[in-house]
Amino acid sequence: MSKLFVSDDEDEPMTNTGSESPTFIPQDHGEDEDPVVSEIPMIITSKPAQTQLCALQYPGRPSARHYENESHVLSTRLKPSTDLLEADVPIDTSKFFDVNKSDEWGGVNKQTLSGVLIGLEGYYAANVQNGEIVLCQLDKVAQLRPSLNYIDKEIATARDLHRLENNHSGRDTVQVVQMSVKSSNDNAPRLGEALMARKKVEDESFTQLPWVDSSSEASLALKKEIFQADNRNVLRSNTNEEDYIGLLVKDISAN
Amino acid sequence: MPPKRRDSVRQGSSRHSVKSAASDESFNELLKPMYKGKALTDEINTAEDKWNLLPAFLKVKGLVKQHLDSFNYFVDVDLKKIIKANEKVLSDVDPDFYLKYLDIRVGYKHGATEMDPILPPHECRLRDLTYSAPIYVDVEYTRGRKVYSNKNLEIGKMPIMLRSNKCTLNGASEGRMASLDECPLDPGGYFIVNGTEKVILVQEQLSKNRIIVEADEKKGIVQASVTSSTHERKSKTYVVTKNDKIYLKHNSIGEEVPIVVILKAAGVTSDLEIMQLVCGDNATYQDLFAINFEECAKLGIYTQQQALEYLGAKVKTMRRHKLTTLQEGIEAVATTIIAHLTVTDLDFKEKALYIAMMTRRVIMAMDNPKMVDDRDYVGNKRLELAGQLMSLLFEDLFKKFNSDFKANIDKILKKPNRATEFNALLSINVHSNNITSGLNRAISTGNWSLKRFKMERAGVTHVLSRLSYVSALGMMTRISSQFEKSRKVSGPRALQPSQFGMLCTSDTPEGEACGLVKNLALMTHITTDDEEEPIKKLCFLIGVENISAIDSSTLHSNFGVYLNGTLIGTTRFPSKFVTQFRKLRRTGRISEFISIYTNSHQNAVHIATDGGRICRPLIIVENGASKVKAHHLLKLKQGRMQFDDFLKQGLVEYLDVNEENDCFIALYEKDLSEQITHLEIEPFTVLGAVAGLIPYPHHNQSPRNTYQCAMGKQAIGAIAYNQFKRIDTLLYLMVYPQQPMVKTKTIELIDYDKLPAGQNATVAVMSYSGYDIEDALVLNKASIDRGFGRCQVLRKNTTVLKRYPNHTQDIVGGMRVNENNEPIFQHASLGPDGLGEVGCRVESGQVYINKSVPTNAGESVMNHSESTHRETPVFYKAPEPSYIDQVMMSVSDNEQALIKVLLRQTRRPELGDKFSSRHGQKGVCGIIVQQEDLPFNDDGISPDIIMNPHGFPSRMTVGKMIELISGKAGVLNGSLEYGTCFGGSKLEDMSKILVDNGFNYSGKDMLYSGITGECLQAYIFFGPIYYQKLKHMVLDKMHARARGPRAVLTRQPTEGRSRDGGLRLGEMERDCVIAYGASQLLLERLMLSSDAFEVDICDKCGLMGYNGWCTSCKTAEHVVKMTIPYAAKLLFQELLSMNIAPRLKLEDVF
Repeated sequence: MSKLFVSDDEDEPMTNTGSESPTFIPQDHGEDEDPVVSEIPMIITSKPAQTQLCALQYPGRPSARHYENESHVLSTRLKPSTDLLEADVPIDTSKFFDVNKSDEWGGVNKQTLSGVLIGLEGYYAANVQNGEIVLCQLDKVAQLRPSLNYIDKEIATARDLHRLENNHSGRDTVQVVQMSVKSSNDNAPRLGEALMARKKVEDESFTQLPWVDSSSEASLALKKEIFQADNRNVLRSNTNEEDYIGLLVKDISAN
Repeated sequence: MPPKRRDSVRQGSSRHSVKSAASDESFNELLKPMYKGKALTDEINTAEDKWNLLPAFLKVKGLVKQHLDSFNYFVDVDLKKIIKANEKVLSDVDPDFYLKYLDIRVGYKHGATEMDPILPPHECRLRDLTYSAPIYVDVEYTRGRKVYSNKNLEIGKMPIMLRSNKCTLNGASEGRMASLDECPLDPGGYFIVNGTEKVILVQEQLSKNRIIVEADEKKGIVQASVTSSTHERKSKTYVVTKNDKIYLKHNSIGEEVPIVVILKAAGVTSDLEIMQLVCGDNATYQDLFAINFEECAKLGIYTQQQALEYLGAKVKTMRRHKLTTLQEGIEAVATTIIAHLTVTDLDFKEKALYIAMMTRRVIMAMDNPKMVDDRDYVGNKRLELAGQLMSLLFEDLFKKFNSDFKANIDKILKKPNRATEFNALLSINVHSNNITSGLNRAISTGNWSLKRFKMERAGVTHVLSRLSYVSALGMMTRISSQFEKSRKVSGPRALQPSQFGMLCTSDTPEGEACGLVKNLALMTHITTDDEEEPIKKLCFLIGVENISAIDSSTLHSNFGVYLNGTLIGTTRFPSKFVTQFRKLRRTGRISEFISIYTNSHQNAVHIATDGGRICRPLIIVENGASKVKAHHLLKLKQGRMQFDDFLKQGLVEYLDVNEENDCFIALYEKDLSEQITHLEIEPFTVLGAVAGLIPYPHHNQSPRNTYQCAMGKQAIGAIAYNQFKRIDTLLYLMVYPQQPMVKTKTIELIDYDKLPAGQNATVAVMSYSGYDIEDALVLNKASIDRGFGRCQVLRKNTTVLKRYPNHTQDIVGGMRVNENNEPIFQHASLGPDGLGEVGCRVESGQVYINKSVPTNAGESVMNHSESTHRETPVFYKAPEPSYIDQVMMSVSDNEQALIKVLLRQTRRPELGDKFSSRHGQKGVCGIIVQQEDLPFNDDGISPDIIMNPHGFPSRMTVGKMIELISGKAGVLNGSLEYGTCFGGSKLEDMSKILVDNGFNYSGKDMLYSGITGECLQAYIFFGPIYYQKLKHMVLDKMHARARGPRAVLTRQPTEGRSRDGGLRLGEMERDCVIAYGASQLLLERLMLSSDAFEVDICDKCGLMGYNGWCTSCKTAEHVVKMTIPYAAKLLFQELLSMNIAPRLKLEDVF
């Protein structure tokens, strides 16, 4: 079995978290076409307490174009218990921008990206510095997609208008409303789990989060803090390969 | 010279006992030649002795292990899951009330170490009871403010599969089995319900929760479909093309929805991302897909909300509480479409990916029509076993049980002022019979009706055929298909290359079910469900990138990892991942039945953990060398290693059909090379248990083997060790069965040699007497006298002595005597108790149960009329007398007396009885000849059977000839020879034995005519062949009638032998008579001898009257009499009844 994953796995009993771990190179099973080129030390750091490290992915955005500098994120919002994250980014109005459409939609000048934070195990933020790789475990990952909610808003307003109009031109008859008392608990519609989740999201309100651009000083400082590798103790594993594999499959236990 | 192999076994076993005591050094010596690859030692030869793994496999697995495994899984695991899923019973009235199921057990109480004693199976058979064990649940419920718990609440009885881990026979020794009147060779795997043995046949289905891509090239349609199956519902989702555009189709969505709309609804709003998910960076795919964006743009759908509302408006659902269209849309995406993936939060990514994958598969098939799936491929099939079917049924019944219970408690709780505190347990036991009777009814009728799937399936269970041991065994390995028998498609019926080693290539019925009913091969295993979640976690641990964090644009540049058809992640190094995964499996870290394989066409690694996959063990080969070495086999022989040890040590592994396709499997050790990954354990395991009986099947024309598979199940033989204790409706037994001279390995493995069905007959292949045309056989009378082909037929008659509500009951009266104080003829075989005496002969017209029923059974208890009885004796009616073999009197479960009488006939072969060899060569007895008149050889041996040589050229059953030679050599040598498929005793060796014993090498002998004493003109092929007597006997079929009963409606003679029916002159016979012009004969056959009827017809109005009077004309003037068939008269009257008046116009004939 390869020892590839020994260093960065949480199943590994670690005596000292922030310590340097010895480098493991995948042991080839006699396949010589994959030779060892170089060895790089890997360092696992622990992030400062009460810091959440989340990765934001922007599918559909070329990886070369970061949201920074002039196209930096304007504001971010989070619904803490449902982990819905929204970020506003500016739109480049100089190119490919339809002013008429924008006016139609009530003057769109920013794009809203939204996504749900998902907890993922075994994902790390890494930085290569001084010939070393420094790893810091991520808490959550979110894929942010453009949500185009101005279109939904426009449709909603149109619908409201339509309804109002209908009400005005409608019959002026007096409607008799019959009131009936229903017992509270038996006839309430039982929502499916997905609907419940949506209801929860809708019920919760956003809390604003301050955005710090990656080029700013504070952000650089934090980055430095996270990737500061001061503990260079070599991490000795006290599990052998056999036990390690046992740990991997501990909840399967075939036989 | 005796064959080497047999010799080696004998030597080997004796030397092993010495060796095991010897030191390690001598052990090493034995091993050395293997490592150097030199000539093999005599004791262990991996190439030949690796077959020993097969008995080791069967020792662990048995032939019906698939049934037992599945049932064990059901009672041990699945039941608990069902309980968990339907854990709580709540009340609508009292919100505080709940009842929670904590645990469920079958057969044993909480904390008990041993099973509750249950009635032994054979007693259930005899007493018409159900072999079942109580189902106990532990519950926790509220009573007032307090929470009570109750353990060991019996909610019903579960029919127990024989030999399962809940059965009394589980792990029982032979002695214990004998004391329970049970046959140790009986495979189990069936149920006993109301005294009959019922088998739930294995059902073959298309695999669920997998994408199947199909194309109709004529219509230009490509569709990907997936049948989602969960505990709650079953539904099918399609992604189809229509005018080159792609749509999603689902039964509960009104119309087809453009695929882009669905993807947007599932949260992929960006067109770019859709393109990336579906097509990756393949330009051809992109071109094919691009048109779909227009469809969506035309609808003006840009956001997820718009798409969900569009979808919500199309959904047709039956809901009590209306949802908004948006909510309907969410509900549709979350639960309705691809229902086996349920989304519980707002992240639809998994679902979006699944739909995108289906679309991609459609695009791939549009681009390259070869990228479609094969429905008939065995890897795309799943087998549904007894356990799964029982679990479906139980869950349905359990839900019903709970809803009844809920209705019950609601009714009580609704009462405003209850005197006592409500106790839920009092109302739970009321309807506890539902589960028991539901299970019993389903198994005994075979009608599986499941409310929640709206499923009605008939013919799920069958009565276990106890015609012979193999017929019972053959039934346990049978697989029935869901395809309609009437459909004229050849695909599902054809032999599939992928069924090699999994399904028997020979054993399938002829006729309408040909190819649809299959049989398992000898070394197959059917998987049960394994947990998905830990496997998923493990995949991530060994380097699979989680799908939730993957960038859509790189999705298709790596290999996708699919767990049970669902994309869970990607891997950059598929072969490395697969190797690591397999390594974990080979070291026993994960279940050996989880399969993994790479599909390079789809850039995918598929992992399967689901149940119902067929798999089989193979020897692992590494670097061109088999991992199973001589010392392993030695340990196996000495019993120091079991089959499971081979699995654990990574020497042998199970491969399912899909993974088999990812491997190179060598048939023989000589074929091993660097590329080879696996080695076959034994090639003869391509055949099943029934086809394995055929000696030298590889020399026969293939259909002959198939014919034999059908006939082997009809052969009369020994049924089980407890055959004389059984009281079955109909039982055929052979009086002197013999094990075949030419055996196969399979015969030994399935213990056919212990319960054989046939006899070794000396056969002369020659013409004799002319009574041997059309495969008829000439039988030697002396052989018959000596007991050849003699069989017994046992027939059961059951009578119940009923009790009536007015306290009267049926009684059994004594015998009646004549004036000489002798019993009258009808009562000659009765004893003083009114039942037939054991051993007495009963002739037609005699009584063997002198039952009487009370005349006042219908009256009420109140009027005390003296109860008198009317005799309703049970008469014996058959052409030949029988003997009373057993009389059993017992009490059935409804407290009524049950009388079973077993009648026995011993039959010797007679003209017209059917025989067959093991090569699909059947024939009836044409003549029985005195031994003096039969030819004999130099030793004075005369044949038992003479077979006409014309049977050979067209049938090409060379195996039969080799069987004769091997058999003859065996007789001369004093040994049993082998005719194992792809092996067996070599013809050359056999000829050598013949020559050494002074016989002709080819098996031909010089015979002398028994009549003239002259030497016959030709040498005759002469030797022993194993012959089976088939169940079709003249005595059961002979039938003639002159006059007899007529059907009431048509007044035509009744139909069928059992009703003493007439012999029909059918349409084709009628045609002949017409063509010949024999009109008077026609008239006689069709009317006079059938239903001639004299009618009065009015010549004036043409209608029928009666008594010489026409009722419509009110006159007798024109009425004439004529004879017409009663059926014609009936037709006229029936036409009249529907306002059509047929009028007859009469003319004079002459």
